[in-house]
Amino acid sequence: MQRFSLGLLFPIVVVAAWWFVGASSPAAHGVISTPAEVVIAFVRSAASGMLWLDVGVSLLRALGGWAAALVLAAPLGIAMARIPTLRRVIGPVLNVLRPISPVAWIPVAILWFGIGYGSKIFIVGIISFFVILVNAFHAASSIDPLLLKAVTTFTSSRLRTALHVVLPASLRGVINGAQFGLASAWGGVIIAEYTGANSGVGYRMLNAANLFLPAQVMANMVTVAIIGYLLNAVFKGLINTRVGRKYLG
Amino acid sequence: MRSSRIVQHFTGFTGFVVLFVVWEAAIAVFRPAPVVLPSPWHTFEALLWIAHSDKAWADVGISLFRVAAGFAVAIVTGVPVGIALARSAFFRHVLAPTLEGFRFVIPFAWIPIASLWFGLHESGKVFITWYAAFFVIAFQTEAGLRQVDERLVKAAKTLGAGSRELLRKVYVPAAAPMIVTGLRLGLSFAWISILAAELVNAKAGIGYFTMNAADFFRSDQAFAAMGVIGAIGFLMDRAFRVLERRKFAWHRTTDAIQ
Amino acid sequence: MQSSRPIVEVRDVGKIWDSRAGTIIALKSASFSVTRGEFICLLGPSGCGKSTLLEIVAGLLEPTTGEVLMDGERVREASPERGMVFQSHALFPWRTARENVEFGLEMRRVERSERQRLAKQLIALVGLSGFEESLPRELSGGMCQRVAVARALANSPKVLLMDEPFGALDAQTREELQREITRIWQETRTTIIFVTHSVSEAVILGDRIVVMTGRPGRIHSAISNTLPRPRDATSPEFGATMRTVYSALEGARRT
Repeated sequence: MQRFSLGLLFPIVVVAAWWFVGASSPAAHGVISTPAEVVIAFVRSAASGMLWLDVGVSLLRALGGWAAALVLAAPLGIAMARIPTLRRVIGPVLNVLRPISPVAWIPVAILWFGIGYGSKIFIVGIISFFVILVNAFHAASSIDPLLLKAVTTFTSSRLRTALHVVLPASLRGVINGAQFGLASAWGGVIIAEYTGANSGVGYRMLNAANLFLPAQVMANMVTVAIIGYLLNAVFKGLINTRVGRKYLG
Repeated sequence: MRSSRIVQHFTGFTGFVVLFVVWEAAIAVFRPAPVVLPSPWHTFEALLWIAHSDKAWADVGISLFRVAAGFAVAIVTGVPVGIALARSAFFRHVLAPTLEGFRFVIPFAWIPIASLWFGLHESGKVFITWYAAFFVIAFQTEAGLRQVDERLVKAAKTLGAGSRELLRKVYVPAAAPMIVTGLRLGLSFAWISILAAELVNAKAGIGYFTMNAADFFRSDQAFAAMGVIGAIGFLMDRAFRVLERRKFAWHRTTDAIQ
Repeated sequence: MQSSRPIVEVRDVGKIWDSRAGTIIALKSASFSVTRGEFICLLGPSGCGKSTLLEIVAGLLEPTTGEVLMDGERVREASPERGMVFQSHALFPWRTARENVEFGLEMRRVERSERQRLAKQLIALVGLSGFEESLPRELSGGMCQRVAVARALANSPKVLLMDEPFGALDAQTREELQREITRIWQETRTTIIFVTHSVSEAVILGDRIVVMTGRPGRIHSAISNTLPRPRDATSPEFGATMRTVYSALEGARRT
């Protein structure tokens, strides 16, 4: 209990100082607002429905890009780990493209897809793709060779081996990658919505900043953090219930 | 291990070759408008143009400066915080929950408020790069110090080491590999964040350059700039990894995920 | 006979660990003393508290009850006077063998050329000349332990404490190092307190074998070992001594 309250000490002090400065100085108020107003701005946008609309739009884009990336990157990563020819052909290309930060792709994405859903999903997709690919590849290439040898006593079919050994062994890595990819996806959709968008949480945040409404901006920042946390928690929760217990032990 | 070094360069080269082949093939098959997908040759020409353009070099320089400044401040603030977190349970209980909480407020989320606070001023950009690097450096430093083998500490004590010497001559060298990994990650996060910040709110920088090129439908320049961005990120990462390999040869690093 | 006062006196040392799982009595009323220049072995099964006792003698741990005296003065903290060698060599992985040995000398502010000279000498003493510039990860387990011994000896300790130093090594290397440590002891005449769970090791090395038992850890008896060195593990006298020690251990186990 004592540890818990110690941890609250710092945030409380900061919030109190913030409140004081924001309330007492009009100049400061225009820049940092007060905690109370942030809460009000948050509640207002929730009540008016704008919050849900924005979050919904952003989530749709983030999850869409993430899911597409998962479907492409997971099998590809595993395949690349186990099929040397594939790795030698595709690997170098991906290695050349990987250092190019997905953020750098944004201008081109807007050029190609305009300011609708497409460009956002594309950016999110790129971000998640590499994260998941690397994790799947790593997992599939670190399978205990003894395990693979043992399987050959049962079957010589590569398909069977893949199904019963490679896939389950790589699953943990794929799930890790999917988890990181999800967090990256949420971050990616926000940045993608700053430029060339007219909906979504990111757009709302930048808009509020341009209108000099710090309370609204900060309310949105809180939203971003909360959704990010929830996405992670829900994902971990889902993993831990059914799938986790059954396949991962 | 010279042969593996050659193999590495070879695969990099192969990558470019295959990339160009696929690229040209895509153009031949889909016949996109040049503004959508420029040919590799046009992109290369744009790259040459960039190499000769003072303005472009200035842009790259500004971006690098912003990263360097924020990164430097992140080291100076992050390492001591990491040390404090590792050594003092009190400090850890007070600060760690807050720091952990900020993990969910990604650097990208700070861009709008920073533009409101700092406008176009450089300090806004440096704030973003500092924020991006600070947390990973602090946490890696803490983790590095906390995984120091207690037996090394015991041995040092029986060799006459006082607490000052323990920190300098045992804890820091033992934690150094993880700390430097933190620096490498912090630098790459800072680089990504500055690009993002420059897309949104800047009048200079390589991120701004890329956005501007796309705005003016100069996709060849945009692609060339992306190549430059990728190259810089790659070189930063490489430089650190070389440093890590040389100075930390004694440490068995499992550098699996490249 | 220099001074009749023992160099190390362990008086009624007890150690109690309080944890959420309950109170653990690691040591109870342990007492023994060590004469200068003696090679004494602490022998007992796993978990009997011998390592804990050694760390208390070193000054790394504080006893709950009792005290340890060295040359009449109470031991309060770790000091280079009580050099220690651990089971896992605990060499600093980022330092070469020579730099590891120099560590204690650096703490004493010995100047560089003198440090290097002394380190080279010690490395030669433990039989590793030529390996000064190797990193620990380039050396075998046995070689690392030799460096660890050299490192502890660099401070000319009054007592060398060794905590099952050869436990993690293969049988051949272990025998070799047993011969080596005997030779080093004969050359330097350092007092050595050596912890082991192996009866044969204790009989090979020790002048006196202190038998311990566990749960709670305490000292059962001390057996004098007067076999002449070099000791032959296959001789009937050796076997007899071992039998004596075994029965002491059995007796200890039963109480």
